[in-house]
Amino acid sequence: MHYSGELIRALQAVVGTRGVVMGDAALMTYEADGCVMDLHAPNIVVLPQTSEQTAAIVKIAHQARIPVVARGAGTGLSGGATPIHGGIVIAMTRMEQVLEVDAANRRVRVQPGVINWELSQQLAPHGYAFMPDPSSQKACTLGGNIANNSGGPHCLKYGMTTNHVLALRTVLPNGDLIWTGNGRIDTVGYDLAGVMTGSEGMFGIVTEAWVRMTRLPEALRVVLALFPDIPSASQTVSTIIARGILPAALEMMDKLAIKAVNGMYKLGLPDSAGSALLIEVDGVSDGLDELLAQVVGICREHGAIEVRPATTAAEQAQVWAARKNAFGAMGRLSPSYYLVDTVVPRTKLPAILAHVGDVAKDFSLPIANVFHAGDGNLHPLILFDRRDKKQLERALGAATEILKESVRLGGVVSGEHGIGVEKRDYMDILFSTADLAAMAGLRKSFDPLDLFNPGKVFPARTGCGELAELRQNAIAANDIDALPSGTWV
Amino acid sequence: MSNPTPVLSTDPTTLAAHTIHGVIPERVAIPRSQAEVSAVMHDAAQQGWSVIPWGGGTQQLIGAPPTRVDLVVSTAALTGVLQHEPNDLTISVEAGMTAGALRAYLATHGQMIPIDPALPARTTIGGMIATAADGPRRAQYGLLRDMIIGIHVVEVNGQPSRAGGMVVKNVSGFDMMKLYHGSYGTLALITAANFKLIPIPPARGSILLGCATRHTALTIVDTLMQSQLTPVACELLDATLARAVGFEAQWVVAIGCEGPEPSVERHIRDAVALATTHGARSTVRRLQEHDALWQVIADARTTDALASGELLLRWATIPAFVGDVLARIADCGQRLGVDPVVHVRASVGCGYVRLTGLSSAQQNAWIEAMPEVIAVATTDTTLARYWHPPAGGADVMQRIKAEFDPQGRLNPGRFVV
Repeated sequence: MHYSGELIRALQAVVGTRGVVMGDAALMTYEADGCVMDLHAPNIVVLPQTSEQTAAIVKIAHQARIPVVARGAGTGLSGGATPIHGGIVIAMTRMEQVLEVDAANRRVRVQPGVINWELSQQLAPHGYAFMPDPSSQKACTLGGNIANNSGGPHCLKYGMTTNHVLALRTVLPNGDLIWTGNGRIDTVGYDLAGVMTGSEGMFGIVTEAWVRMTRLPEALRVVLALFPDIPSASQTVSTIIARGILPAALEMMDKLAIKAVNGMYKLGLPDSAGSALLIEVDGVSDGLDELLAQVVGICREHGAIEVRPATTAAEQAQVWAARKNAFGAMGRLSPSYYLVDTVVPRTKLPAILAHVGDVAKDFSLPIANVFHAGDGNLHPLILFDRRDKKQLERALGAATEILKESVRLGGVVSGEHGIGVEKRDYMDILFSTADLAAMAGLRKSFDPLDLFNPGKVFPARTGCGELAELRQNAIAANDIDALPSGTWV
Repeated sequence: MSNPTPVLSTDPTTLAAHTIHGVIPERVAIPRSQAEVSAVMHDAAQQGWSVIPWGGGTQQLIGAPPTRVDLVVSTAALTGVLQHEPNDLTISVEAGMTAGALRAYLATHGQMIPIDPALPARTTIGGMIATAADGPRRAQYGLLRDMIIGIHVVEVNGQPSRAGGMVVKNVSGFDMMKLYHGSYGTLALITAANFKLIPIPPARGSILLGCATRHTALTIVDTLMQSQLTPVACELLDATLARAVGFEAQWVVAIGCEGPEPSVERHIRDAVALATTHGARSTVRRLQEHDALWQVIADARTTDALASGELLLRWATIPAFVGDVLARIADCGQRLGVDPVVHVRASVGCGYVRLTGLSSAQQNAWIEAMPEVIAVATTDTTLARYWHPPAGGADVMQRIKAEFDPQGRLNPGRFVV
């Protein structure tokens, strides 16, 4: 479908001709994010430079009833930025200013296109950081972090993006431009910033945000512990937590992942290692060495074959680079991979990882594991060749098996990557119709016309509009049996 | 009623115990399970009754008086731990469990939810969520909104629904926990909630710094917050509260520390040095003395049983504006000839002011003078306003309310929405 000359001229009048992207070749860039399972090109892409321009674009789209999908750097892994119903993609990458560093109040005002890593780089001279640190932090944007409530290794201690968002300036689906608050977390009325964070672009488009900046710790210690297998490392994680220690990060890699990063980062890790645990503790320097000694002791108690402290900043950076670029290192092992994001209660890690091992055998595909062990958030990387249709099918089948087992063990279907289009059909494994209908009701309050990122989060079989209608009818008829509530706790 | 609910009470004593702003409810339900809550809410929908959710009743004076009190639904019989996985550091508890009972239960496992409400023996988990209650340790750990990982509610027609889960990291579906947190019982009745837990740190301690002026106290707070120390609480107490914690001074900065012992000792050492630098007196409180100190501070915000003419204002700004707000409070007090009692969560930039012996006109004047006010507690039912308008998004809030409670029967008139 092509848009009328009138609509295109209206958009160009807002952002200039250079801010409007058309043409099939140019639009291909926007047909997917990091999740390349489903591709769909937008009809047009618009790149605003201000909040007001963003609002004007949305007003035009709203009037014409055209779907709108906001996009940051496109590093998302669940298809959140894929315009599955076409329409307008609003790319926020030209809004990349850090507007105000307010050290006295430990907050910073940013535009959504600011890159996560660059924000922390800018804050470092002031002695602060933006704590959520997804592995894609060198490319991903704050707007995307907010839309997906992104995590990262350090959210074990410091929390997810939602714990760092203070107020949002947002364009609502009808084109209204609002601030949710005055740049502090306590507000009057419902917590709009709270519900918008993680709403995957379905409630509003963030055009500015007040986020927390956190004082960099006085000191930190990093240690890499190698174990013969996964259960011994998992048990170490449980024991560290059970002894009342809250590390800044607790990251794990399995044998296959160790092999991939070892080659790339020259870490010289022994082949006999079945798992590696990266542990970081931080705080004031007093007592930190004792804390580290305690952690090292726990590692040894659980049969660590080697414990390597990374003492210098350079060594620490090397270990962290290996962890954060582990996904990229998979290229050494396989032409493509499917990165699954799922969470189980911490103590279920050995069980789910054993299951992942079985799935790898059943589907005849190697699966590497690099994950946030402290949170129970695992990331099996299913290695396959995309060009082989049969392998692709097996990869999808393997992911389904892993997600179902996660839910069976008391977990959920996404810890930090979001639902998007990738996981939408798993939502009813986890939630009852009534649970989903309440979420649909909230979505409808923001977007009654289903224009912002339509087709995401809710199962394809029963979409958001349908769920919201079911719910309203049930309330009107005072019928509580209309929506099955399931048994999930 | 065709199918009377067994949990419904019209016993005069029970009704009187649930008086709201002087209004005795028509009936009170004390359901014993989520299924009973569901049945009660379903009946209420059929009868068209307004529903006032009730936890411990300690915060019922916050906000405007409800316009109709047909049915109070109390969570007093929903007090159980539904699921606790100590090694996963997660817990699911019913909404009527008190903060004190939960604290005692978790302490036996060496764990905690670090929020410290006023009157923990009566304040319930559900009430804390509904009112976005805060405590001194929010300086480090945040609000309940930062610790809640799952929620169970019964919606206006009796429909139970859930969100979140029993894992510490979760983006499966929208964050309904944040929707219900601070919604003052206007969207659904909270029946249970799941939280992530924190191990109780091995050591704790606090330092009180007595300052002659507000300026000195604020300078100390600012210096502390620009440092790399990580106190769990940092409160500014006025002379009245200073007396209540047994440390006479015009202003007291109360600093709470938790963590490994060397870390706590370092905080104490640096804070004492800070006092010396700024010419402040200091004293250290440890163990039970530390606990007692923080309970007095937590209780300072109580809204239970306010006297006639008593007004408690909860206000929020940013740390840099705390001085301005305190100056305005002092001016207003002088102008109206009343003595405000003030305490501030200084590192966060929010706080409370308590006033007594005010006429309705004086209460109105205080609220108007302080646009920073985010909640009002009073027995006065005639005030011009109980809420300032939201900073933004009032239309969306109205649509949310209409979506979740189309007939406006949940806590009608109480909230800003």
